[in-house]
Amino acid sequence: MQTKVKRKRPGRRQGPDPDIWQVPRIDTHDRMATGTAAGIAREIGIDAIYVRVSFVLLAIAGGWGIVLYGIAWAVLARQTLSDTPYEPIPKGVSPSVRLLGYAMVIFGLVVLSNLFGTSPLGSLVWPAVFLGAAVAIGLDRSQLDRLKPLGEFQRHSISARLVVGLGLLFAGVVSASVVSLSFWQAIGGIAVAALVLVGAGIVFAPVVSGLASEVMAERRGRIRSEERADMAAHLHDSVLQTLALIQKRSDDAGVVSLARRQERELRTWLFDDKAMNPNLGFRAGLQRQMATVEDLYEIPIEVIVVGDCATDGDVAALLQASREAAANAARHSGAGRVDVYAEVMPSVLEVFVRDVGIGFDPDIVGSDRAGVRDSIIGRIERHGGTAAIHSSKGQGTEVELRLPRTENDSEDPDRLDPDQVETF
Amino acid sequence: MTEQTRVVLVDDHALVRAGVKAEIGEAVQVVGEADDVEGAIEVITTLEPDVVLLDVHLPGGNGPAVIQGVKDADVETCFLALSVSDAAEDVIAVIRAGARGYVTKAIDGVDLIDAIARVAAGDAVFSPRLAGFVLDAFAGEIPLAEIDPELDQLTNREQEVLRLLARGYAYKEVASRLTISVKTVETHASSVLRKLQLSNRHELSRWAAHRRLI
Repeated sequence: MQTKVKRKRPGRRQGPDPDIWQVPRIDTHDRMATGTAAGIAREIGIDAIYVRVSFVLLAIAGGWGIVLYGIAWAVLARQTLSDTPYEPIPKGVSPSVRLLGYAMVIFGLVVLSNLFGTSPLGSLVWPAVFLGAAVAIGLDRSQLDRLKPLGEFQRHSISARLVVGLGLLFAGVVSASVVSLSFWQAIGGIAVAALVLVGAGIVFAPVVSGLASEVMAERRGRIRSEERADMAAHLHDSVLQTLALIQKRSDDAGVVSLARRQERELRTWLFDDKAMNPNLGFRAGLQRQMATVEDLYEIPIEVIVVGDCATDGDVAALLQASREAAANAARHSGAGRVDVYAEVMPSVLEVFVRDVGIGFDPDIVGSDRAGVRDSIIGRIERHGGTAAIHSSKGQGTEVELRLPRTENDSEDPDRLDPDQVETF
Repeated sequence: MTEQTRVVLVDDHALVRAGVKAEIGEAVQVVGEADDVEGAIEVITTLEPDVVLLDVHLPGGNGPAVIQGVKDADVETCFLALSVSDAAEDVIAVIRAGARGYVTKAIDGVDLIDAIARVAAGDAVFSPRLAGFVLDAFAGEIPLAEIDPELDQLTNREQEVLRLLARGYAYKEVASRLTISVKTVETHASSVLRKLQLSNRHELSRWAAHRRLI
């Protein structure tokens, strides 16, 4: 299809990159009529006069110039495209080579139109060109439109496509009616009618279905997020406040723990989409582990996490060692709360579990503390990490867990360690 | 303190205000209350309290709007944010607007009175949660650096102090752990706050609004 020459391949619109094909834009600053020729010339990298002259030449040669100009004008993007996610297509050759190519194409078009204009085929050329153009516009644009959200540009393109498509179809039908040779009347009439139908289907089907489904999807999405924001604001103002109040004012430990759990679940739902994802990262995983300890021992645990990373077997072991440390603090320390702080650093993961409870003398580790050795220190060391327990009588306890981060998970020989499939 | 600290409570829930008042009423003088942005600005500019306990979320705007309004009226007071909100952006936004600290509503009365006294004395109050948020912000987890390349980085010492605060250490404990004075810990905390507040406020609110849209 010759019109392809005019309609440049779309390129990425990230600023004016002269080496990448982009949809030419109507140039309103340097224009004789509508600025279409100037826009095309700028994109090809040649002087506007060549394009203008070629349109005139083609117009003389059987009216092609007028048709092509009209198509180009209707199709060219008139707004700034800022976010079209197309693959960039490099121009590859120099502007002078492009000028040569352009001249050859125009020359070919002139010759072709003269050829067809004098042959008996000529009466079919017009309908074919019109319908072909309609099909090309319908196909090409419907593909482009799928790539980006409904925006200013698409609205322009839809109206342009409707106008151009309708015009072309009308022209096709009119051209068909002037086919008067009896032989061509039979074959040509059928062919043109078929082309009209196919063209109409191709032009309008993507517009109608695409437009309808995109508008519907967008509206549905917007309503959903608005509803959610409203609900979040409302719940925040009412239920969360009340739950916080209950925790402060109630003397019943069971009620306090219930309110705390409800508050945490609600807050997770409101503010942290990621925590609802079963594919937990380190942050959400730690929060979840601590939540179970909080519920089990009815003690508030303040979990502070800086940074986040994916969970693998080693990280899972760290999470469970942290959980054990927090459970120990909740069981034995007698403190009113436990502080858990974790930080994801480039080379190491650190977790600190701290209480200000009764503490113990780490040198006199009783037999009941064997669990600490196994479930905290042993577990973390098997995964290449270190654990340190700082405690003294009356000064509280702090457990420090450190796990070096491995760059490559597949290098980890301990991947199938039973720790990571252990359930709590 | 010979004279009791004068405090204004800003929270849209009468129950919460009553609860807080009952807890701190003995130690400080609650001189006024407000339940929305406009009312809060009016009460604060009229009464000029020492400390304002400010809810992060309010009808008619949010905490930062109150702080800005009071600043525009040229009234000097100290803000302490008090909230159940866990959204890091909101907390950082209110700190950047000028609040001297952030505590959650789960804080007990004694700690809250202590925090009010600290803010009144011009110091910063870092709950473990705030310390975590601030570390996150400077680590780029909350992308402050992107919108604000002028944001000074924290010094190693400031990071150490923040980490210990996030681990649940009190100022006193941080001081003995790092073998520095409590006064030095306070200086570090205040300088972290200043670094957050110095940077461009307008950009941040735009960024926060953008984040919530996503």
